[in-house]
Amino acid sequence: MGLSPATVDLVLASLLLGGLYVTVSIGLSLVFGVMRVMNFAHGEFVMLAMYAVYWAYEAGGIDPYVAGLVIVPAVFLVCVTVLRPFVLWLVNSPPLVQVFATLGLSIALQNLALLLWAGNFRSIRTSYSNTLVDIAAMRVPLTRLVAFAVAFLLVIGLHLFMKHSFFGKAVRATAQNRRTARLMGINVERIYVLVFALGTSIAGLAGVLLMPIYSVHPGAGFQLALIAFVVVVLGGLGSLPGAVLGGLLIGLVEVCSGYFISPSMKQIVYFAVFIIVLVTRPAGLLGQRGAEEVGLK
Amino acid sequence: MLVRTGGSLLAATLALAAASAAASAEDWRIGALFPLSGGLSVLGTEALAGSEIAVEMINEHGGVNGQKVVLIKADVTSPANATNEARRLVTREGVKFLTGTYGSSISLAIAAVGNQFKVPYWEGAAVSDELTQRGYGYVFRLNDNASAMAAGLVQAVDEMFAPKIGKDVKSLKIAMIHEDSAFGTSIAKDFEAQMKEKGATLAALEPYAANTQDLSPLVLRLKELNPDVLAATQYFNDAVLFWRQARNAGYRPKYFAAIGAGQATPDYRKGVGDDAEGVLIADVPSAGVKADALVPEAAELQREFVKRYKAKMGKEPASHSTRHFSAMHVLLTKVLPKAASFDPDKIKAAVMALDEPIGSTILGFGIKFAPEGQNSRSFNVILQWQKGELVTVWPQRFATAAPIMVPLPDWAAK
Repeated sequence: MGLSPATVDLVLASLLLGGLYVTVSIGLSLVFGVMRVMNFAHGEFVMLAMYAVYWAYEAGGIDPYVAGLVIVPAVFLVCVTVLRPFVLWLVNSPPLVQVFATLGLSIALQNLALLLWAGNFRSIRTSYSNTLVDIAAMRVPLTRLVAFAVAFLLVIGLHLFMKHSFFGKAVRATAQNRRTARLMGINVERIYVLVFALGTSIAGLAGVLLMPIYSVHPGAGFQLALIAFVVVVLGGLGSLPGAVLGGLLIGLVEVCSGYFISPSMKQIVYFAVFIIVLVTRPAGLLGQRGAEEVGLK
Repeated sequence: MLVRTGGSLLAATLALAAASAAASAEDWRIGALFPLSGGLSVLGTEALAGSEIAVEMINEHGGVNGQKVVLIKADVTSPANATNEARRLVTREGVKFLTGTYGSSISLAIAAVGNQFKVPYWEGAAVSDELTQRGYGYVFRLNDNASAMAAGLVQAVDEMFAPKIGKDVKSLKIAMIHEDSAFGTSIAKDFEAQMKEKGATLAALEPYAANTQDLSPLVLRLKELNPDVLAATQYFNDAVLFWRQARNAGYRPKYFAAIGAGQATPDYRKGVGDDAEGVLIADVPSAGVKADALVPEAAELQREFVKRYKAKMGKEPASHSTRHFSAMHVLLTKVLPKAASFDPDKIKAAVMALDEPIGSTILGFGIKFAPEGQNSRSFNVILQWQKGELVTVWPQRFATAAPIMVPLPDWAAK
């Protein structure tokens, strides 16, 4: 009502960008929360999904969102079959090995993409690329609205699932204390593999949602993952609500500092906010102390 | 067994030594440094292909002064790597002349090595002004540099756009956005300085990081400022992102002109679709210079190059391939035959003596080198996306079509 159009635009831009960051971050947060593994190759799964969408559209003329219905389950299947031994080995390795293994995987996947598809930036253009949706007084790009809505529903769904389903309880038990969970008859290995598959499928979903908006190249995932790490640590490692809050906050800080200060300063500003939060609240906004030992919230 | 291995090794070594001795005694051995692996490999390989085609053509006609030309290739992916490889070519391979590259930071590293060993360096595509401003003495660039690119845009604003909307360039509200690496920053600096010479000041100069995920704050700022002219230097990713986000925000500048890089690629057209229509780009003509703007030999050379490039690479040459072909061809036909050796001072004398009119190279450039080593008759034309094709719209001599959509209308509601 009393808001100027510029303010509305700013809030809208912040929310939409924050929503994208949330999509990329929650899978990472989930995997860390349960497995205590910081997956540095998370972004590469986003990137591979983006390429999958690209090729489905280019070669088969398949709509990105339709392709997503196949791509996301496919990522899940690959994780529970081909990657299963890797996941189990990873979760039982010392932290340093986990860092190097996932970082190594990240570099290997980037170079594989470079080898297969070269370094070009590739983008797709659908019939609804320019479609704007009228919501109240705002005009919202459809592709970004879809990404935001899916992220929003996903977070709520994931939260309810973890809190109320039997599987969710087993996951939280495993996260809190692996040995006790095993004593209670929980198949801990199965939980780890399924959680890794779930987190990675969400990365795949993020790729599907991002491809109609951005261009893909072999380094695209790594750039997104860098922001996701900031989001996840800022919100509190392993905390799903924290990842949401972190994502929206980074989106807001980035857009507002870009508008009021300068587009070239926005990264400096959000890293400054990041540092201030870490100094005052080392566990992140919603994280608990010693999050690397205690479980998923 | 041991004896046999040793024997064949010895034989191989001797053969190799003989071969390299033969090569260094007779052939023109030219170092060719390009990024052939890593992120720039596609562009680097295409650029090298341009040079190779020039060498093949010359060798088919008996080489330079009766001797064959051989390219000694090296893969350079970063400035540190370029320094090492240039050093290796000069000290181990005994190369006395260097060419390349793709990427300004790589070219600066090679030029420094060339300077250290007093080996001439002939650059084909990198645009940084600094390359010829370091006072090295034996660095030469036939093609356009950053300030020539900016100059193309400044002139077009002054002579094409300002009269069209009935304003003087001094009274125009001009803004520039650019990605903040060395490439974008140097072009922005040139653009601002040259506009100042025309008496115009920039209302805004907005740098941003090319790997950004979001340009909506920039779009909102520009929407509020509403400049008459928006100039941009962008890579591919940010170029597509900016135009898409501007479209979504309902913002279309009245005059949008980009300098080189992102907007001039077919991928850009694909990325933004019909919204590319009317976008102006200062560059060399990527679809080829129209034949009647060139001297007859250059027009014939252009036809021959395009034919050979398609046969070799299976696609149309892009501007970096053409730049490298042109640079190598001028070197082999106009510089080396006269210098008759790689002696730096003889090379320099041959380069500085060149004096050819506009239209005498296949990119339309003339040749007249300034003392610091930059060809002062290189320039940029203005291209425009029209019906999905890049056409040349300015200046008159090179134009293949008249400019359309000046000024750009608002986005049609969809």
